[in-house]
Amino acid sequence: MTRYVELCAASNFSFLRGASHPDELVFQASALGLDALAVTDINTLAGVVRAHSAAKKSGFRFIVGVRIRFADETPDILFYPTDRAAYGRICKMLTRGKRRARKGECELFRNDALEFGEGQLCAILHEGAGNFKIGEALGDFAGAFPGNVWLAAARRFRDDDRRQLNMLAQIAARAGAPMLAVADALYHVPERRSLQDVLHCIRNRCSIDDAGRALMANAERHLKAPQEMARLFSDHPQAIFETIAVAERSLFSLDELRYEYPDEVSGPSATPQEELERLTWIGAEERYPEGVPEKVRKAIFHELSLIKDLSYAPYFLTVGDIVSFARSRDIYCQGRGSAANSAVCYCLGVTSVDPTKVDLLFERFVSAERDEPPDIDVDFEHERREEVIQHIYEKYGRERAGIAATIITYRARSAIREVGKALGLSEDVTSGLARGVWGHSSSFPIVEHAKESGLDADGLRIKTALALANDLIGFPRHLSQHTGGFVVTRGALDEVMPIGNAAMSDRTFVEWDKDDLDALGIIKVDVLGLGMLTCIAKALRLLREHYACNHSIASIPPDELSVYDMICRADTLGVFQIESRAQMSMLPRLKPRNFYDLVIEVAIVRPGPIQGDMVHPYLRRRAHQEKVVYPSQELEDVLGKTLGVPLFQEQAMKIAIVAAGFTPSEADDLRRAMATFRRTGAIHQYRDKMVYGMIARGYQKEFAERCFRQIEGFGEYGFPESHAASFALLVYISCWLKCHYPDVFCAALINSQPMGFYAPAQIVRDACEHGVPVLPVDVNYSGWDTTLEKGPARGVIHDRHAQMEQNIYSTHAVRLGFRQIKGLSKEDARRIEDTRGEGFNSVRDFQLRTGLDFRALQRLANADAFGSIGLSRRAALWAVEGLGKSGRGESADLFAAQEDIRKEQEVALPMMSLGEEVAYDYKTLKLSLKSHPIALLRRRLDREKYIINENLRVIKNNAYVRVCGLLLVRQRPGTANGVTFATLEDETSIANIIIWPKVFEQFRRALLDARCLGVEGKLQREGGVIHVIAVRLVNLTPLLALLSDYHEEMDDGIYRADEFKHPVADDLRMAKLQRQENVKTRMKEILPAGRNFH
Amino acid sequence: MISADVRLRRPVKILPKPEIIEVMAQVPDGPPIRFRWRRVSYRITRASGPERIADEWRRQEGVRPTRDYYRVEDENGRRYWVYREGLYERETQDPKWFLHGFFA
Repeated sequence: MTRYVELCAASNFSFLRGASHPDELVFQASALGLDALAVTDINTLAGVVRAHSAAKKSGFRFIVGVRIRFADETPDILFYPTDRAAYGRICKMLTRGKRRARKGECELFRNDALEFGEGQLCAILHEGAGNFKIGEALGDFAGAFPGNVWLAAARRFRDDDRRQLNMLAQIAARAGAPMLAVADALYHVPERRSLQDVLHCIRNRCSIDDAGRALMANAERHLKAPQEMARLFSDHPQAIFETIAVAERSLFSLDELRYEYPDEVSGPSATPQEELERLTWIGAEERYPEGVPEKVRKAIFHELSLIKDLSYAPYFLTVGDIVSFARSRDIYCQGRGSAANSAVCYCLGVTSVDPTKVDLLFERFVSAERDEPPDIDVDFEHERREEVIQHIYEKYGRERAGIAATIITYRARSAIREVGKALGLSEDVTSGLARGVWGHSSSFPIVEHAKESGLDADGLRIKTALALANDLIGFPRHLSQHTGGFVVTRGALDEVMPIGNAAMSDRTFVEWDKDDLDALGIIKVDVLGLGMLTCIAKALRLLREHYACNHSIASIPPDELSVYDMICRADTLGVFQIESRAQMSMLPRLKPRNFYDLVIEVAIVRPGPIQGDMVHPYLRRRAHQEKVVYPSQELEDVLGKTLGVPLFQEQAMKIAIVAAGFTPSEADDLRRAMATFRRTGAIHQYRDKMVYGMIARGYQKEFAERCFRQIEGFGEYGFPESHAASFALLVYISCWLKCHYPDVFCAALINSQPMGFYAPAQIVRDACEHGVPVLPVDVNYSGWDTTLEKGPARGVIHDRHAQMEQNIYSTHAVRLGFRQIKGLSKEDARRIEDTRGEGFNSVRDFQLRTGLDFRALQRLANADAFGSIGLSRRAALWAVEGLGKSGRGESADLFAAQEDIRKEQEVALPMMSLGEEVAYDYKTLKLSLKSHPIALLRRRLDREKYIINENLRVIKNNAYVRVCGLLLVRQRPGTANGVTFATLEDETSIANIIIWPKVFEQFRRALLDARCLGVEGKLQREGGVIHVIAVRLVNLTPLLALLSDYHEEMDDGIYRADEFKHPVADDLRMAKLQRQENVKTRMKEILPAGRNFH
Repeated sequence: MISADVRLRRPVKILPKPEIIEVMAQVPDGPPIRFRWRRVSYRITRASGPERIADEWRRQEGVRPTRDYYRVEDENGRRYWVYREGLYERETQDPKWFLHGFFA
């Protein structure tokens, strides 16, 4: 039996060279019967963890290696570390090379390799270098590291292969370095050759037709079986044996990197564990001043002992330290995810969910069997996260703390673009194909779309492009820095993993991503930014300033019925989590009355429960329409609090444990198996195990299968109960603020943009409906931020919210800030505030005192911000233009000029129509306080039988209606069977639209292009929630042009948006269409695009 | 006889259409030992290769078999460009051989 180890194979982490995923290489190597495999990517270790994990899974041996490509004339060298120290040197070497170069590049020289070469096995590759250079390099390294150097030779299937091998054998013999056989693979199977060719073209920005001889002549760069390698090297059998020798000495394994936790966290105690215990009990006293409840005390003991056994104390202390730093700076933060299952985390102040209020499942968070460090993610105010990051760098030093990588992969759109270009498809064809891909989708039902765009989907090129693009999806493109994942190590970080430059100057990040770090058990803390925390922090500050009301998150009165009343009416625009339309439509049905209901609400509107068909049973049981039954006592224990319907991840896992006999770690494996991106066959084993396990325990097959489906949905999308509870807390806080102080909430929310589902226009409108007067941006009153002003009395509260009138305590008006003005800088806004004094009395005065440049003045005038000076938008623009002409001097010498201008101002300017004003408002502020665009078109819309959205409430079920509005949101959840949801806003209310896939495909263009959409469809009312099921969509965007100028001749055909795709040859018609296109483009500039969510 | 730049080693005369030959060779990818072309037998004394050239996948639908090209010299010193069509076992069980050209 021939034995062989492949020591040279590039994965797709050798960007645009390797054409296989690391795990594909490993699985193939294992299937071919190789002894082991080294994945050797060029100047990077980014793919090794994936390969390592795949090898572990299949019981195969993986060797860590790297292929260094030098910046000087040294030929490529493969390095394999023999031990941990040598591995550290490889990381150091790569770090040095990467820090020298621009982001994504690496610059190393022969001297670097000689400096870090100790303990490495080195194999010099002959490829691409002359024989003389190889001999010379081989001499250098063999001299420096005798016995550790090889000459790697690969068969190329060229005419002179044999001669070349003989030559290399001679060179090797002369240098005293044995020859080593390698496949130098670029893909795992020959079928990937075409993809590799395409990658080559993408890398060299050429088309495949021009690449010519640069492409490889054959498909031989794949992994080969031992027998085949032996045959190919039959003249040099020793080269095959040497691969075994190298493998036997390359003993470093990535498993050796575990548990390298920082150890300065012990503080005054002797060990981290003692320190953790000390801090935990101090925290417990603070959390429970009346004495720690028995349940919590027991939980703490249990957790501490488990933490001790697994030596995770330093990890908890590290996170605790970061959180207490944030607290000391008054930065709001809160742990999320499964960490909220821990009483210790609660006592340390990391999480905020009182363990007496929810059931903790500490094992979901830390498990002895799982043998993997816990994952504590902490959310901070998103605007102040940077301070926390700086603290981490300061405390642990840049040598020991780094930011994790995010691997940016090809998505459908980018894949089809790049592949199309490489195959020489024209720009319009590729962008036509790409446009049909929804959002960041990673799959594409694109063939139909290709046809719809008039492309011949059966054409060879297009077909090939689609097939190759499909393979390319999921390939890494480049590494980028993770938003907040920090890795902290005990020793120098650059001896654990390579560190490279980020695009931002002075920023670095490591080569591994979150999953890689997880897989190796390296400590990682997610310092995340959460917009809602910023909003809450700002709101509480405003409350202090304007209402002398000194609240913290913890002191907001819990369980107020008036807050829940508001929630039940789905009056939740802008609040945390339950603001999405799916959540809003659930609220009136679920009717949350207490905190735990909110926890359920957060968890239930998730693809997991929805896909697993758990929502309706739960709602029916909650409404007492269905009897609550439990198939067994053991399941009653698990499912009791959710009325027998599994809603949380923990419950799904527990079912597998109690009902199918899984061990906890098997249940967790099951959850993970579901979540993996490319699903492997492993799922079926779990299915059988679960279903038969349950049948064996006396459950019915049908029930067992339903349970499995539910878990399947959970794996990826379910919330752990603990996480839902952490979020529910913020839901309640934000609802409390919105309920009682809509003015404060509105201002804080706008000041925290961008965040959430809604744009300022909707936030402002919602505040108005709650009686909050909203005042325009004005040079004499506004600041950068939205502020509160004592002033006009409370406005009228809209009918819909009438019942909460006495619960609204707000007394202030909201003054929009300069941040609302597109293009105005923060510095300019500050100058206005600083120089305002008693106020400005003319544009000239304003310009002299602030010294703002012409463009800033134009922006302010365009945004109608000179109202308090008595200037309308047009008058202000006139004045500014006047200044612009008379020079931009700031000295008082120009006093005379000012007089001139004043005269000039007396020109009688025509009034702007309301429509124009509104259009300008939208263009400059993205909202208008004057009117709603749709209101101005209402007469016209009436004629077309479009009703106002508010009237949907009084129309009977199943009636056909026409509604329209600005398209606020398009949403196509990946799991909703292709259903698209859209939200339309007119002057009265919003309308929720459901678009089935067939209708979507038919009106795709209209939907994707429209800023203003008309919908014809059937009204559907269910449990107080109203939807319109679309049968026809019309792009009404051109109609908006009527706002600023009315073109009589455009009356006809304007609704026929679908005509754009098939323009008729008729000249006249063409001209008209052309004009409409122009209108569309112009309106697109003015109105904000709808937000897309997935 | 063999220059360093082998990739440009192409025959001076190419047959308008490769002609099928009968060949004796070792599987899977040994060079021909003898071949028969137009009813005449040739015994090979020297050979180099294979130079493996795979189909240009992007030009047409479906895959054409890979070719292993050999430069061979018979006992009279005449040199030929022959190829085996189809990789043994991976693409075919019974590869065919063709004569494609002549070297000077």
